[in-house]
Amino acid sequence: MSAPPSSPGPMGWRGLPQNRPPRQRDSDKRQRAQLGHQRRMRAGMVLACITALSLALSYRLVYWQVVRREELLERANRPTLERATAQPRGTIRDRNGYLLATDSVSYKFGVSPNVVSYPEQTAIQVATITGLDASALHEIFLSDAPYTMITDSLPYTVGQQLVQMNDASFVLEPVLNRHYPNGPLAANLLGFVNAERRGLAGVEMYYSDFLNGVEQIEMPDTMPAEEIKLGHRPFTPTRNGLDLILTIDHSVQFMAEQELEQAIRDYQATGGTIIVMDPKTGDILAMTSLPTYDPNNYTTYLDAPEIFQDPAVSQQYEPGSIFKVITVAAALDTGLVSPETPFNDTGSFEVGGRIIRNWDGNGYGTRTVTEILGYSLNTGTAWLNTLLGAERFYRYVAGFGFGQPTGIDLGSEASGSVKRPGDGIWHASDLGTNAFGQGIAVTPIQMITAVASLLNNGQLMQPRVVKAIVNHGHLQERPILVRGNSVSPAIAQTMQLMMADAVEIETKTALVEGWRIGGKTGTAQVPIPGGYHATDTIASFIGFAPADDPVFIVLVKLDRPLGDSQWGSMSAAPTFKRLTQRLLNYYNIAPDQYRLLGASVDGN
Amino acid sequence: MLRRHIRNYDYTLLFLTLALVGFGLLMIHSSAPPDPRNDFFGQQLMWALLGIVMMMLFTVTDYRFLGAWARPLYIGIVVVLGMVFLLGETVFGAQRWFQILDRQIQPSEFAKVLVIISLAKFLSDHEGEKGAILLSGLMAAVPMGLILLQPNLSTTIVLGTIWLVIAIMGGMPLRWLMMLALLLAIAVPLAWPHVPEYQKDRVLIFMDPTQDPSGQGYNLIQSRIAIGGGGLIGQGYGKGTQNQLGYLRVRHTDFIFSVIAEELGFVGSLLLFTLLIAMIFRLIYDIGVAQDAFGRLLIAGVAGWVFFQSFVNIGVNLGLVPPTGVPLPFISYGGSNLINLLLAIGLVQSVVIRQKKLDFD
Repeated sequence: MSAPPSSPGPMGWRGLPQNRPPRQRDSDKRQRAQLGHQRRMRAGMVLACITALSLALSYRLVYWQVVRREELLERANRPTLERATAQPRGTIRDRNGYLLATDSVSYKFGVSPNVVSYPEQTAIQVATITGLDASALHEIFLSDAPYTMITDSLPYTVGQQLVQMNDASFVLEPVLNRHYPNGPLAANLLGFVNAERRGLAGVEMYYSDFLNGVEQIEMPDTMPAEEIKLGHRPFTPTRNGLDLILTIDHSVQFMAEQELEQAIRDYQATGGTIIVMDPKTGDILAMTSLPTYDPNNYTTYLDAPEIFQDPAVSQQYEPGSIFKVITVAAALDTGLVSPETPFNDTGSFEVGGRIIRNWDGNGYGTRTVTEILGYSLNTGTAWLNTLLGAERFYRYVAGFGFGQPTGIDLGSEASGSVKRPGDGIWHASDLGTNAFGQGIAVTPIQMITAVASLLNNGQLMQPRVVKAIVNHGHLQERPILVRGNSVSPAIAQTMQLMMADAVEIETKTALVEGWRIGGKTGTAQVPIPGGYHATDTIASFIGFAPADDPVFIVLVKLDRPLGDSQWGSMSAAPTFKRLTQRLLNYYNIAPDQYRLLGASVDGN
Repeated sequence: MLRRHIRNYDYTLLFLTLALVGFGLLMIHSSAPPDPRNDFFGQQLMWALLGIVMMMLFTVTDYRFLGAWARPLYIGIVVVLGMVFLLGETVFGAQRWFQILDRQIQPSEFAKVLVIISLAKFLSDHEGEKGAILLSGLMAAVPMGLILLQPNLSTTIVLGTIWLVIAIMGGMPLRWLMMLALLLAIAVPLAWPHVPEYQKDRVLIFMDPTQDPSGQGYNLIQSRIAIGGGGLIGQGYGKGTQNQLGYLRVRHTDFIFSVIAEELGFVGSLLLFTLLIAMIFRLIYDIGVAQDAFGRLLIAGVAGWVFFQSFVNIGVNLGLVPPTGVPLPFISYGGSNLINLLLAIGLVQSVVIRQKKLDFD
């Protein structure tokens, strides 16, 4: 920049002559007048220009704010508040895609009686469509209440007919309901959903995070702008719930339920459980308990909510002789005995100061370990446990998964109860009684999972009821989990054969003509405070088929059957037999004679 | 300062200025989103206070002293604009801003005041000379060209208009005006193929905003909804849905008029018109009291500037003028613009307080 000037003037524009010659005073005056005139003319022009442009703006303002106002308001962004509405829950299907649970739409029906024009006529019309009582409706319609709720569960088609009537006094609101198309089928396992659409039992509860839809954001267009919060608004994508595919086969489930129902009727039991499992994967193929409920009408059972507990996973019982399988397997696995090791049964055996006798009080003489299992000798298993010792025996009991939850994907699983040396309540005699399943509490799911490990090379599986989750077209298979090893593969295979031998020795009532099967009965007394109930028993049978390559393992447990039926071999075993016959047909398994022959022909 | 000066001070102009600035602050308060990181209201308030101090300073300073500095000031702004072109940061795809300390300033706003001073001084020194008017056109063309290169078409047009107003008031024959209009009528169609795409789009979408309702036409549609929604008395201060819910973009700057129209309605818009037109008329009146040609041309330039920017900005809001980023004088958010306008009003006051004695001849 150049230096500042010392006075105004000299730094003016020099490109043109600066100092004009002085003019005459009068001509100067004239010129000034002329200039003034010119200036005024131009000022007028400028004013005209400003006025014209201002008028143009004003016209434009009127045009938008008055002339086309309505049209613009029509296009305005409606200020809205967000309201969440329920999204459908995911469906539940069996392993073959058969629908077990789904959402359905029903109508909530209310009226505004004060605007009903023809109460009598309308009451008759509505009664004809809905099957509700016409005179009761008439009474409601005669009142002048602004709103009266009539029913909250009109079937969709009925509700639609009312919608068609297009009556201004009707308030019809579609609501989502949980619907179980098969009624009580697999109810214990599925659970139910309450009015707030929360899963409260079974799979519906355990998987509610997956089944629940993310609520949809709805925008009513009536809220004034000032009620809307300014600033950050979170973005929540909406979605339907995810669908579940269960390991259950609804046909197997149906057969199991039929057989259980018949058994309870035939043997006059108070209740019972049947579980069918795939021993290779831990997949539950069927799981049912009685008494049960209809999840569509869960409200009628609210007086006795304990029915919503699934006994298959939550009920603890003394397993009785079935547990001998575990004792024998443990003894074989340690290598202390072999299946042929002899034991001289005198009819009684003392452990920890307690005399243990057989079920019939008889002594069976010299018997092998296989026969101990076959004749279900209490004395023999107590002897095996004295060989094992407490430390090793309870390590095996834990290794088979007793005393801890199996981790099945269902809620409210019980962990069973195993007394151990050093916990204060264990007595030295417990080592003897535990050997044949007394003084130890297990759940049905623990029992079947433990025995299943012997059909799976000793691998203890984590049982599962959900096979896969369908995430909007993507199938996400749930993992098959191995929890550990109960015994070595060799001993597991030995046990598989021994259980087949045992059934043939002891439990002819379980045998299925044409197929070799394996299994073990159990008849446990029901513990009551201070001892055992005099007559009540829990009769059970665990078995599998075919014996050489088990496709399924079945646990039948009957609570308090009457008379002779109190013995597992007289009630649970025949139930197993009937169910197994049906399952072998269902799975299309050829009788051993053809199947094994075919295998050997192939082998040659 | 002399007592005469205080007596001659244009209090009406001061009132109108403060009224407009206050109006602007109120509307910025309503339209700026409540964001502590971007306190538009606080910033604008700070600039307004700074601008008022500048206004006072320039009132006290004799405008003739500034006139004596006209040439170095002119050379200075041309150099600065050249530097902006070479060094300026690119903001919004245009090299318009200049970083000084932590503030970004827009030299093209200062160019407006300095060009007014330079042109007024030059033409008043050569009153009645037609050659000087041609030369003044060249003088204006240099900064205009540099600003056009930034590129900033709207400020270029504002500068051109300022030149035109000063030239007309400085004695430009009206014939020339017509020739100029003719020249533009020929030049525009010839230049059209060379106009950048974004400006072509703006003009085309201005013709029919519904062509691109979510893109370029979005704000035109939203501003119309805002204006239409205002109706007679508006939706109420701080309650305009288009404004408060953020449907309207750049609402505290280029589209602040739409906010006024929405929240204060036709009545509020007319109040704004009245204030602006009163200011223009007051400035035109002040031309008459100026004691010399330099003063007259100075005020004319300022009046032309205020009026043209007001017209273009409101015209854009009302769909009368193709969309272009011209702030609404005294109202729109923006420090450089506000400070320079207040400074220019200070210059006008400087002329007014040094008016000649009343001449009764």
